[in-house]
Amino acid sequence: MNMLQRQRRENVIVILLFFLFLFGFFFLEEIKSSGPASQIDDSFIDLNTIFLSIVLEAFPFLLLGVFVSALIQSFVSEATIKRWTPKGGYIALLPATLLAALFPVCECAIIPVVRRLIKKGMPLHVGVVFLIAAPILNPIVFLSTYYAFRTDMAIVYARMGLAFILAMVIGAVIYKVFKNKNVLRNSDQHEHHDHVSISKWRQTMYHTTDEFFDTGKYLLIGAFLAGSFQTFVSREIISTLGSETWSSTVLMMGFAYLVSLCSEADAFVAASFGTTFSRASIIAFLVYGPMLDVKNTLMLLAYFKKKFVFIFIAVVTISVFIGIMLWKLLFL
Amino acid sequence: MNHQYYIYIRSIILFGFAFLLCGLIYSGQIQYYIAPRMMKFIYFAAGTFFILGIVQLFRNEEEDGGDCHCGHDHSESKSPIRRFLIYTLFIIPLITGFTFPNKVLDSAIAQKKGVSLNGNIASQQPPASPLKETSESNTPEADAYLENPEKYMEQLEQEVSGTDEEPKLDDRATPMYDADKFYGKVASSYKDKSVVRITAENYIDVLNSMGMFLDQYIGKRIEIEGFVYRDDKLTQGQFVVARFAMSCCSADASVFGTLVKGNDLQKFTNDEWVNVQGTISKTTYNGALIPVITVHSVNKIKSPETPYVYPSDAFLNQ
Repeated sequence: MNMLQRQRRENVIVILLFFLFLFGFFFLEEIKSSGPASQIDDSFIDLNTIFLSIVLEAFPFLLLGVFVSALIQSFVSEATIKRWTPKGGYIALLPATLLAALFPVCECAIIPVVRRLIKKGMPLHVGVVFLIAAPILNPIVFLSTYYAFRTDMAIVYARMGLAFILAMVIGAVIYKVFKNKNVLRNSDQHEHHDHVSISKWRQTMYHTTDEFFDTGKYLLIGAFLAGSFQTFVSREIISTLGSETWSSTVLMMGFAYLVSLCSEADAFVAASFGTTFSRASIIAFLVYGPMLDVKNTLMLLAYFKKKFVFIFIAVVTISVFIGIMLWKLLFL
Repeated sequence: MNHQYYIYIRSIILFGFAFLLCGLIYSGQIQYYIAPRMMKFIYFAAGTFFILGIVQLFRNEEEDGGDCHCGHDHSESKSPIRRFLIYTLFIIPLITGFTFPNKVLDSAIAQKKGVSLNGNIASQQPPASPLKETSESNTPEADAYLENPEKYMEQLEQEVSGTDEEPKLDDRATPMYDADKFYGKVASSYKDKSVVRITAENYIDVLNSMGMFLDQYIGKRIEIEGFVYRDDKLTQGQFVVARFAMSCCSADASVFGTLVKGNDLQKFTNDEWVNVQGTISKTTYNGALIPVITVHSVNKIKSPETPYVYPSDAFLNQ
């Protein structure tokens, strides 16, 4: 009885929500120009405008990413992937990076995949290369970076080039430190279920939706933080703090870590800093953010041992910083 | 709560985003968020949300094998409170999207972002030889800071440290395309004309060109529209007429402005839209030349249908 009542109440919430959105759709203009809406403080409206614009701009790219990722999940078996996994020590780094470039997944999707691949026998350093390279070296990220920086292609090339080189460097360091030690946390998570009852395409749709929600929540938090930053913090303060190349690079790496943007959308945010920050620091933001940030640190800690995660963070941070400084000397 | 319930909630949220996008597109309000050239992606997103929402609606919990999402982030299925918070996170932008009034970005945001007074390109050029006699500014340092904080701080630093390496101009966001050629062409197209009429379409191009080839514009009459931007650092007889330029979405909007001087300007308040007619001359801002308009007439106008300006096709297709 109680169960039934609760179910009915839940259904009411769902239907109410649906009609609320439908109402919003039909009376969008009326609601927005109504009395209560005009009471909202200006700075919150500005925050909402920037927050929503980041979210709406990022959604198509996020959807594209999770859809392709879902396709791989449904149609490419892990046995196939394992067969294609490069073998060996340092010599595996280059093919691993090239393979990672074919993996069109963003940083949120790659962590569970890499964890599973490592568990099924993929060498740790190859997994690390995937973890670092895949979120940046993929066509969707290239596309969004290209759209955001088409007037300054040097930044697009720097992002891709640095990601390629750094992935191999970081992979090599990890191989040196850990070899093939088990760094995974022991978890009692069940193995993959076979969806025999439903078609692969339905399954792909479900995966797309699930991954959209899994990843979207971090995007929403990131967009909100970025929006607040833009609405409430004057850029003058930041450029005062980071007027030197090295200090602005550190600052932008810290900022990238905190805002945790999806690699498919961060280029648009980075473009908005274009005129206030040095190009080196913009590249740092674009390279470091997809490799490491608040949200994927949390995910890493859930899957890997603490010691590994901290060493990984240290190696990535130092390599990116040195990489950016060298790149600036050579190319900018 | 059972799994099927969350399947429905997700479906409704997907529909919600589809409705929000369609509503914004239909009413034209999407222009407050997204630049026109990105619209094809928005159509794609709206369509995808609808399809995913429909598929999700007919999803059955049995198909999922209970609570398993196979290979996905299992942490989200942990506690009801966490789930509630996560779905609230998705519902918040829907609610604010449907209810919060749209507002054009205004001088409050411009102040946070900083206003460029001689185009985006010219501000990256080394300052031309200072012509102090034309300076209008009685607080040059504050103005310099207002105009280009980064450059100002950099110069301040160089003064302090004495012998710095050469100015880090190459490290600024200098575009790769041949800016000189493009903006030179824009400048020469006004060679034989006595009036420079700035529209929404040519706004960015002409302002950039004016910043770079200022001498070719001096003495010409100009007509420009924008909102009034003022800072307490400007004097009474000055304001900046400015517009937001958006390349992809309003998060990346930057502010292009032109300094205006004349009598009786204090009666125009910030964010008021005006049509300014006057003559172009030059003034110095921290050693950099910027255009200034000596006013003939200023008229209040209604804010335009499209408040933002976008990079022109000619510029993007070169």
